[in-house]
Amino acid sequence: MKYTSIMVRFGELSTKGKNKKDFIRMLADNIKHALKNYPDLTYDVLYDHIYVNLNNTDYEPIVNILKDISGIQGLSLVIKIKSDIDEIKQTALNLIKEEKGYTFKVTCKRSDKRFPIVSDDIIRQVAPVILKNTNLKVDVHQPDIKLSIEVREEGTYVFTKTILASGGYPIGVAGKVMMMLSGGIDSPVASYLLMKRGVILECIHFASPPYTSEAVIDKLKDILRELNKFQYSIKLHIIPFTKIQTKIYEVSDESYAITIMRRMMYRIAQEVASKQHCLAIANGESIGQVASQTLDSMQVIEGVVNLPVIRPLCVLDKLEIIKIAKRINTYEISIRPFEDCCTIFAPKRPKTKPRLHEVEFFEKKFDYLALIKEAIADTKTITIS
Amino acid sequence: MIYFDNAATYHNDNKATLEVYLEANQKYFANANSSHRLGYLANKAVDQARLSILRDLKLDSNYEVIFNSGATEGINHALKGYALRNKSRGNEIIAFKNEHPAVSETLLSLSKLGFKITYIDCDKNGEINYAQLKSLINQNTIMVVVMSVNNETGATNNLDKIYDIVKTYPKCVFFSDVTQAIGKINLNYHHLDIFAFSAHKFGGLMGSGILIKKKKILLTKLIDGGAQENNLRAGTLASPLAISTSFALHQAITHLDGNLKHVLKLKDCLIEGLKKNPEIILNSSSEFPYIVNFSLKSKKASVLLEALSNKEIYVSSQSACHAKSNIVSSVLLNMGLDRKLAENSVRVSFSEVNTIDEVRIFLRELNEILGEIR
Repeated sequence: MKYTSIMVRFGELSTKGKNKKDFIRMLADNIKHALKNYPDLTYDVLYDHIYVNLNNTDYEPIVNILKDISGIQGLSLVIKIKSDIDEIKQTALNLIKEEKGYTFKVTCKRSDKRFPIVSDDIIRQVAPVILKNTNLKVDVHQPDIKLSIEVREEGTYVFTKTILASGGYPIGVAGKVMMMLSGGIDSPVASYLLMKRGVILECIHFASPPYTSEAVIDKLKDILRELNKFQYSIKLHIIPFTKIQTKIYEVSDESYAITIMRRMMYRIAQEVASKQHCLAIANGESIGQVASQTLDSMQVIEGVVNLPVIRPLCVLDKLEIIKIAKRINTYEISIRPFEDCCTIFAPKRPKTKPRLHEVEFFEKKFDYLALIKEAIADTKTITIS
Repeated sequence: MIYFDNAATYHNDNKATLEVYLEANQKYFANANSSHRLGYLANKAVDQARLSILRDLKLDSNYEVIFNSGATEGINHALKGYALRNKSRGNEIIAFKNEHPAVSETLLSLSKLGFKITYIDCDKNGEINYAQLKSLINQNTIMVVVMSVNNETGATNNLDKIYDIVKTYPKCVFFSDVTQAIGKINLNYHHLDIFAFSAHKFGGLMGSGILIKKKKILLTKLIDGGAQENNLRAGTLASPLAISTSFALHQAITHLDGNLKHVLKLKDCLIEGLKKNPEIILNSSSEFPYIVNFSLKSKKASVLLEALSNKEIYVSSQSACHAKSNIVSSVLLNMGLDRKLAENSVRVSFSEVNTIDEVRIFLRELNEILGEIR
């Protein structure tokens, strides 16, 4: 049988009240954008579902794209027919014949109260047709095949297959966040998790040529192209960081260099974030992973900003992070062997418990505000879409 | 742009080679193994190319030319093909420690098949220890494997000396990887029993290589199929590629002395400049002028490379280019360098189209970058 539409079920929107409409509109926009290369599709945006009408388009690639769109809980491949009991019976029978299994159950929802037969009676009329014409038996507790019938104003939908999608909120509903993107394994995963929560991201990257390779930027572009699945256009701000970095190593004790470097990055991120109307800064830090990510370090480093700092990965361990990275296809890109600003300058003994007064002592030795201003002025911004 | 990575791929703007290729491609499009007239003509042209190569290398009709895809294939064919075909003669192979991976990895495969591989050390200049070879070679040795010029350092082995040692063992053959040397220095190819090289290291096109061996030496073939290349390498012969390679080799051999003189000047200028910078230690001391290798005492070679690359100056680092991978040049370690110096080595390699001015610019930029980076 040929499916006519894909029914899109919403994610956690049941907790939303009056602004549910905005959420649905945002989700519908995101879906339409993601499917813009399929001109034959049409859309019915309704209060509890969105229907993507296939109009003879092959459903598989569409499902694969929809599965990654944040805010979609599940997808059903449906057949839309006239609300007519004979047609419902016939379609139900045809559809269930294509399924594998021994037992079935029929469920029904009738939101169109004009339809003269109530849900229970629809079930009572459809099930015998199946029993008579197939070898299937009824099991209402754990059926192999669940046949659903939804009678709505615009017609009746019959379906058996439901596919789980990514969940979360439609991207864009939660506001904008500035993500610190290094190119490693963690920050793309953190980006993905935020996007899933409906957050729009802009990214900031600190480049230290020639200590970091030009190839790192290519790597970032490739990562962002993968993330375009979730957010179709992503801005990347590239900050020239060499001057600040070399100055830090000139004035400070080597063990403090990373702490001070991170503080400078946070300062810059906050400024760029404010300029771009971002409501928070985010990064891929995970508690205790490296010296700059101990709670002691975080506290000293984060002291320089007043925007909220979101760390989606803070409680995940590396293996969990890698698992997600592999799933979203950023892992293979992240492990390309190019040096980023963190690896090349890595001191032998970085402080895991930096002290604020010592940090401030070193920072007083150079006019970092001027250097920060200069770096921000020389920022290169590109958009990946 | 300054291109100083000619040991990786030689760049001499040899448009004539490409023209020869294009012309041959048009003229000899037919399969050289077809029995019609077009096939016959193509085959004849390729045979001319074979003869031209033998002539250029001053080899007689006791040798034959096998066209293939490159030095790596030729090396695999020579080592595996010979060892497998002649295992009844013995199972010992003696090899130089500092060979290119094309050789060392192939030998590793052979050792897994039961062959005993014995390695000869190098001295601090990277040259083979001849006395050690003399003491190791014996009646069971079926093959001695020593490269001509090392690809990382330019260290040059005296193949004539090795020939003198090997020739007293008639059962043993002498193989040499001459990839870096051919077309750049004069070698007595008739002292070798079998040798391999790539075309793109002397101005030929990529994807073309040659294995040359004495006809009396028998090899097992690695690629099964048709009976091409005297039943030694199956697969349709790329006639235009073979013809262009013989042309490029002829060019290189014809201009060898002039090019050598020119590149020697470049090398002297470079070394003189490098010696003035206290950050730099020279690793090359050989007379082979096409490759100069040096190490940085305290700075990272990968950073220097990136900075040079940003200025469109291209050299290479035979080492841990990346902090995240722990590959160190075993060639330099074998020469006695400590790990840090081996990790931070830089290779400059010339072609005849490089100029003294380019060397001067390189030195200026190098000193500037080394002054800036930490």
